[in-house]
Amino acid sequence: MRQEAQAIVLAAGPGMRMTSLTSHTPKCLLPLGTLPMLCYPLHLLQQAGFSEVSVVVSEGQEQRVGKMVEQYGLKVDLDVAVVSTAHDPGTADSLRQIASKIKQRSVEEVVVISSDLVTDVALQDVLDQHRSRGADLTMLTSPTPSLQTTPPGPKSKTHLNSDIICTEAGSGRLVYAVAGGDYDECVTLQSSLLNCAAPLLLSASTQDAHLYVMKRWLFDYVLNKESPCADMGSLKAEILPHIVSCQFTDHSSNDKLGLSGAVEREEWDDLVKKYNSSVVPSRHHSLAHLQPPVCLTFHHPGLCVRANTLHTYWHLNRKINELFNQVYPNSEWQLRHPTAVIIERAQVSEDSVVGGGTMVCEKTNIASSVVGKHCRINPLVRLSSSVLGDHVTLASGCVIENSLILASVERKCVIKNCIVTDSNKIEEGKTYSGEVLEATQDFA
Amino acid sequence: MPQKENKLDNLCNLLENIILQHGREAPTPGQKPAKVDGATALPPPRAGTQNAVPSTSGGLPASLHSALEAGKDLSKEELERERKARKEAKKARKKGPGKENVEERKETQNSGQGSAPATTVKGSPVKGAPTTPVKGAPTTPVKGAPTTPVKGAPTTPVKGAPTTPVKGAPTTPVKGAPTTPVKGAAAPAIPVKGAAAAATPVKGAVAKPVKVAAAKSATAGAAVPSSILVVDLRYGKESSEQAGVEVAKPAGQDSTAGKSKADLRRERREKQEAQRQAKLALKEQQEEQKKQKDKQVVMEKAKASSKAKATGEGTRKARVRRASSRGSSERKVPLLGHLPQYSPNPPPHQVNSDSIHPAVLTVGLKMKYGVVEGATARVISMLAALKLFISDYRTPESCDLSRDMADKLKPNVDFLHACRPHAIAMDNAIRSVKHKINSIDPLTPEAQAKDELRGAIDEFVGENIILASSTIATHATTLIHDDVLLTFGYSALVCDVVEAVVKEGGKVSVVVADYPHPPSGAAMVQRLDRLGVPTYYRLVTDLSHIMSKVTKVVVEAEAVMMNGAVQAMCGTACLALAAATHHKPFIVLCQTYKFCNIDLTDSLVMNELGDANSMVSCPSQEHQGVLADWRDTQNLNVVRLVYDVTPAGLVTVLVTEQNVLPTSAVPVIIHRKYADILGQD
Repeated sequence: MRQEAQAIVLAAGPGMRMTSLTSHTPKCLLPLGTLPMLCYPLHLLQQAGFSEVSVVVSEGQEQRVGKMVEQYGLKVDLDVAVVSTAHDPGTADSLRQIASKIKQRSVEEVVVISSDLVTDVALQDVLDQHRSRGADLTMLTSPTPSLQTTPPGPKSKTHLNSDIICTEAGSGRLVYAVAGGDYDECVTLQSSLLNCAAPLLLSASTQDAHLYVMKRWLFDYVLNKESPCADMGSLKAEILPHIVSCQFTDHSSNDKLGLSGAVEREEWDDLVKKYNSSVVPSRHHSLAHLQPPVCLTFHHPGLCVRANTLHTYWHLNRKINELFNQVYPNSEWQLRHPTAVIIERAQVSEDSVVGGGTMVCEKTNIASSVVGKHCRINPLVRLSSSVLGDHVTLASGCVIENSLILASVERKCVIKNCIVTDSNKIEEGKTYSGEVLEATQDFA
Repeated sequence: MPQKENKLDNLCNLLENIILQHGREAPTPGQKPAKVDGATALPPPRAGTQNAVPSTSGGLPASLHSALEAGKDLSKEELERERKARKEAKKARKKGPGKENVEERKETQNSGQGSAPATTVKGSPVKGAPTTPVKGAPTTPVKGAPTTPVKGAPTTPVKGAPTTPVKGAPTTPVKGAPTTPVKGAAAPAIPVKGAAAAATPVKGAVAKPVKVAAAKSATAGAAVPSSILVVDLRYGKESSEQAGVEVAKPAGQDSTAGKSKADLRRERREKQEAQRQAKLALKEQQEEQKKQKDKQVVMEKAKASSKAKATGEGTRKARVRRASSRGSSERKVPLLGHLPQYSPNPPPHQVNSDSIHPAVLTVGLKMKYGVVEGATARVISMLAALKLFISDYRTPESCDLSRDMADKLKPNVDFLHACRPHAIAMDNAIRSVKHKINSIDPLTPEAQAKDELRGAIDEFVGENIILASSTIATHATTLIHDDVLLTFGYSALVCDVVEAVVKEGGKVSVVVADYPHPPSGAAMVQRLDRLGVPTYYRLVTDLSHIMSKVTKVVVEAEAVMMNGAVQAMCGTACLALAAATHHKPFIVLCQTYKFCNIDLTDSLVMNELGDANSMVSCPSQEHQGVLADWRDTQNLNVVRLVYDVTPAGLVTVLVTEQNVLPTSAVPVIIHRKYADILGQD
């Protein structure tokens, strides 16, 4: 039986924009509200009804990722593929890695999603729009999230450019896209774009959420060794703009390398078009002259954040308590895990998240924080607006504010605005502020 | 005008038939089967008011003031009286058609409803009816005289739905659309005045008397029923035929004088019945409240994240929630409750479901969201999907292909139907596919069988659509040469005809009448423009003005019924009306695969509800939201019907691929074409 859609989660990303965290934990397993980040896209897929998901991870992680599903009560079968980290693989390389597996299956659509996406969009709606409008590629867009929180660590002004996305008003057709990092000060729009009858909306405040739904033939074409996409490394930054631009190139004269050879045409397409009296702008409209690939956007105004920078990661972690209530009300992900032991005399604020197996001792005060799994918080600790990773022990008397702690902390430390990934760096009774305390490579 | 009267008589007969049919429908649960005698009519609970059992010719006794005496059940006397009344009514019908019209309505109220409105029902007459303020019945409790002065000046034939305001303070508004099916056009609300009775809003709907009764009990006491009904029929069908019909007041002969024992007894029985109903209503209300509470509980549960739950359970709940939220926006419109309700969302479906083929899913969604519109386009895209379904089909070991495939096909077809009710042409196409599947020899190897099926579908499209269209165009050139054509909306078939005529050297110009929701005619204009045909684009509201300059009207049918009635996109019927008034030929183009062996006389029995929201959206910024929350407005119903029905009498000629035919030839073609299939039905 032909399947409708195949989901691929790209989880091999090294986390180049948050290197201080990913040096010893792969990005897809970084804790986000006590759960590994990868859980969120998997949950999204599961909600839509996917029972089987392919995940591409970097070497050495396949075991941990494979176990994750049971551990967090997800009901999807993972099909884990491994990509070697030797040559700094891009997203397209990951796709090529898994392509051979997909090839054998007969599916209509491929859903490609990044492992760092946290959103409350209903994937089913995206798929519905994709199918009903006859799109070849649908991209999820959302307003660029505004981040009020200040992340810990030294103040840095590494402000990245935002994505630039140009759509046709009304139909939501994607006519131009360029990824944030790929331009400096100016972008060039082809004048042929202006031939689009409808007004164009060009926006820098809209982000590409890195969730794509592709028709099977387009997916195959992209991964084809003979296509122009063969040397491209990144799906978002290279392949996508290429596909989008193909909408406007005249490939009637092109040879088999072009898209025209790959396009899968539906039977009686022209006939349907002729008799169609619809007024909805689509490929099937009687006057439409769209040629494949038809690229559309699905704009989701709600929550949609990619935890791919330290800033967004921090932001999501701080907001995760709201998320748990609103987005995952029925999952077993909860603010207080049942196996967490919280001594009665400890003060834990309502908006804190406490993971499973954690022990919170008396005379502690936890406010607006995320405490990971199997942590131990000893007496007389004050923790506010902070995020703790898994297996962290806070010795008694610590005061921690607005910090990200992934390693155990010694007694009576005062830590403010810091990122701690290595416990060896922390000495007893000291005060740290605005630093990154990470393990340095010792070559001695 | 003997002719007109004749027609009217026919219509009345039809009406009666329809009413009888509906009367026979299963009674709603919790409701006693409707009795045909007026004897069961009830007064409102604790009414103490008059119960108007209207009768035309004085036969039926008006129910009287309340309980005095005990007695047995129906007396013979009453039955006798009833019989008499009917006889007389029949006579009256023969005499004056208009009169009988009203009477008819009354009768249904008596018969089907089982609960007569505690008031006089004043039915504003037929379409032309200027909003008639109704001053209903006498308020005195004892008198049941249902004087319903109907001022239904039958004037202009084409008129939208008149809305009649409800008058009076202690009114018990009867919500209802008295539009009897035959009447088609307007659904005027019937304001009813009278009886300061406890709110017993009666939804008097003639088409569905039994249901109405149920509705009544549901709303009794609590809700205020709607009294405005806006129907966007874009003119119903036979309105013209009703023109000139004078709706006579039902003879409000009171029979108070002869308060017989039987009458009193009846009164008592009515009272009892009313009490029972009140109880029932209360129960229903409570149940509803309970349901709401349950819902709240579910929501709260959802919010409460402190309890551990199995994920599977959790997700299932989430899905259910999603599904239920989808259905909540519906609100049933009186008279149209039998039509599948429009929902803005597609039916719930899961990714990678085993039962629904992805191609079918896609087509279903395309139809749902109006990406593919029009019977022909829908048929083609559906058949294309079914071809893929057949290609991907594998016969299980233990089964015959023909049997198993039919089973597997069913959920797919059901899904399509859930997305959007099938067009008649689609039903025909599906039936032909099923017929092919069933007739496959079980010994045929699978690959060959599938080839055969795909071939049959190809053949269907080739013969019935591609070839037929070009043949129709050729046939039409014999009728059209140098003409000014009027057409409605987008129709590829009309375009083909125009193209063929132009090729033959005819000098045609085309007026495209369009309707703004949705403006499909715009595409038509562009296509005609490419052909180099002088084209005028007008709104359908200009018809009366355009018609004098037009020489022929050409439209495409969505379906043609056994009795020659033509189902087409809503708005087509008013072209037919205008053409008839101006004595212009009305040419209908239709492939014979859209023929249907159902008799249809009105556009309410079989139709589809469209998105009413699209009607109330106003392009002006200032007034955009005026009706946006119409669902919350108790007294307002917005209805959008997709099709209308043009009666056979208004169709000059039917152009099919077989020949140029009068509408009376339709049964012949149906019998010839569907002989094999009809036999199976």
